[in-house]
Amino acid sequence: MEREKIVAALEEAFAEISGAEYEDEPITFAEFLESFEKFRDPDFPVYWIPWAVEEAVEELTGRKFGWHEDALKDEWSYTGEFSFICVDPETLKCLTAERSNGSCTVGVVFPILSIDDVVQVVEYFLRLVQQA
Amino acid sequence: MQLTHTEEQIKQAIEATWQELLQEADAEDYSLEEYLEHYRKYWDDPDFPNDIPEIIIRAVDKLIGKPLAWYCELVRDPSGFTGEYSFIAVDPQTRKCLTYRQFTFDGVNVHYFLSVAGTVIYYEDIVRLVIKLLDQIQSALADA
Repeated sequence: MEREKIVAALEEAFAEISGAEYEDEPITFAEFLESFEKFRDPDFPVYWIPWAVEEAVEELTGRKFGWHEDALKDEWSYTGEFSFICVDPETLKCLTAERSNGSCTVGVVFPILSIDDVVQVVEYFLRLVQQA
Repeated sequence: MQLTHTEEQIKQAIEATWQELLQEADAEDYSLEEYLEHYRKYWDDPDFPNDIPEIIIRAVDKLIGKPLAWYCELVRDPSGFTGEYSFIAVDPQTRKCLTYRQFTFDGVNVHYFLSVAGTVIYYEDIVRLVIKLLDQIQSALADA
């Protein structure tokens, strides 16, 4: 899928999630990510980032999924890493579960600090849904 | 679905797991109750070894009879760890999410929940959380 389409879906999802917060002075998702990278403020609405990913994936696939997301933190602040778990509600299969060397992991972790990072994450989930 | 384990069996599995963890850490012999006293004081200290998720996960695996794939989150608010844990269990063979539930509150919008969560402060909270997980996981395995 073209990058423009993914970015448009992300921007649309972000506008919906951020709602009235930036109504007077609208900012793009890319700008929002830049301010997150700069300040890592503990009060930053960091969960808007994975929620935008999830909404964009659902918009682009035309399907709903079960999600669990976690913004990873070290002792001081957010690390910029996010873990995602995605379940297909039709099959109850955990799409992010992976088996290797006899063990099975449930979630996937991605660093998300720029619009390029977030596009890659959406592309990953689109591939995952396609494979499923 | 009716739980297939008695509270006594659940407590035995928790105790067996605790003994296993002590052995693996080559630690001196102290009780889970003693550990929980420290836990209540230091749970938000980054150097404190938080064994609660491991105790719960291993106890459930023992009672189910097979190791599942797990994800556990220590739930935090802006002031730190809240004492709440959320667990997601997946069957490694089928990749089925065993802690998945879905609800609709208005008959139209469906809400998906992947995790089972609970707060642990005292020993009885561990027992309650193991029961909650067993209940959900056994139902999901029976539906497979």
